Amino acid sequence: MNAIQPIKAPQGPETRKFLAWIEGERAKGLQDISFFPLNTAHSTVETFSGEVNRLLEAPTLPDPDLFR
Amino acid sequence: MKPPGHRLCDAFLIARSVVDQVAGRQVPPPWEMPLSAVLEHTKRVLPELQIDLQRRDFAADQVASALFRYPQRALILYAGSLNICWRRFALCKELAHLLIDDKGGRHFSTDGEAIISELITQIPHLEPESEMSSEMVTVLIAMEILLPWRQRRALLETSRLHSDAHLALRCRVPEKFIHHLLHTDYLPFSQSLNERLDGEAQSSFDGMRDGNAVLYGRALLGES
Repeated sequence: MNAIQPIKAPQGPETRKFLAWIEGERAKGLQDISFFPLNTAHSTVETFSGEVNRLLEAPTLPDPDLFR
Repeated sequence: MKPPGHRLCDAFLIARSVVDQVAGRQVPPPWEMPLSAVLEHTKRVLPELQIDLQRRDFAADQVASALFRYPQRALILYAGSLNICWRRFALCKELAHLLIDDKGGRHFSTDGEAIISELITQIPHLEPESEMSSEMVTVLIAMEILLPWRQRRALLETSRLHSDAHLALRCRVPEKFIHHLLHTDYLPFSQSLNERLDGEAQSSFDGMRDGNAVLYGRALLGES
């Protein structure tokens, strides 16, 4: 029997945006990615990518308690 | 290409090494392990990396933190909405990620879609000999029970005409497992393994016909 190949899922706008960001960062040497997921019971690749995009775009906050 | 998994014993050895370095010979270690010491230890082990921790003004729901590793920099972003316990845990988890992955990059991946897909389905990289928790194995078992191998071709054909959501309603299986089954490397992996098992089952059946049915039945029941 010939190997069954996965059918490429259509990518939503958030997924495309995140993959495009990765592509740009690869050109700058990006080697590895890791996430710490929270509530993913109802997640899809699209909703998760959307959150990652918002995390990437959010302004930086001070964290004075981190090393107290 | 999916990166290989890690052995649990290696993960434990790394954790013990970090605790030894951070807490020294204190018995027991301090209740609140100082994250700053964990960070300093990581910097000592990976002196070539500039480790940049950034708290972001972001309300976490699905993502607590993210690590992006470059040859000379590691950028760790974490959600500002997390309480201090979660922020410490998330950062420690990302630092552990830096420590456990060898510098040769054998475990590195920038396949964002595959990484996310694995995280949200909680299904591990598909390596026949890889180590995985019983929690992950039972997800695979449930998927193989509710979406049986025998109906795989029919499901594939139906998927050309209908959405994953439609199939999910049809099979009464969460959509994300339909997605994982049909649209990822799980499909050829499960085909290969199922065909191997089909072959072994056929051999066993042939053995039964040769008069070994009782022995085969006992073996299945775990009896000697």
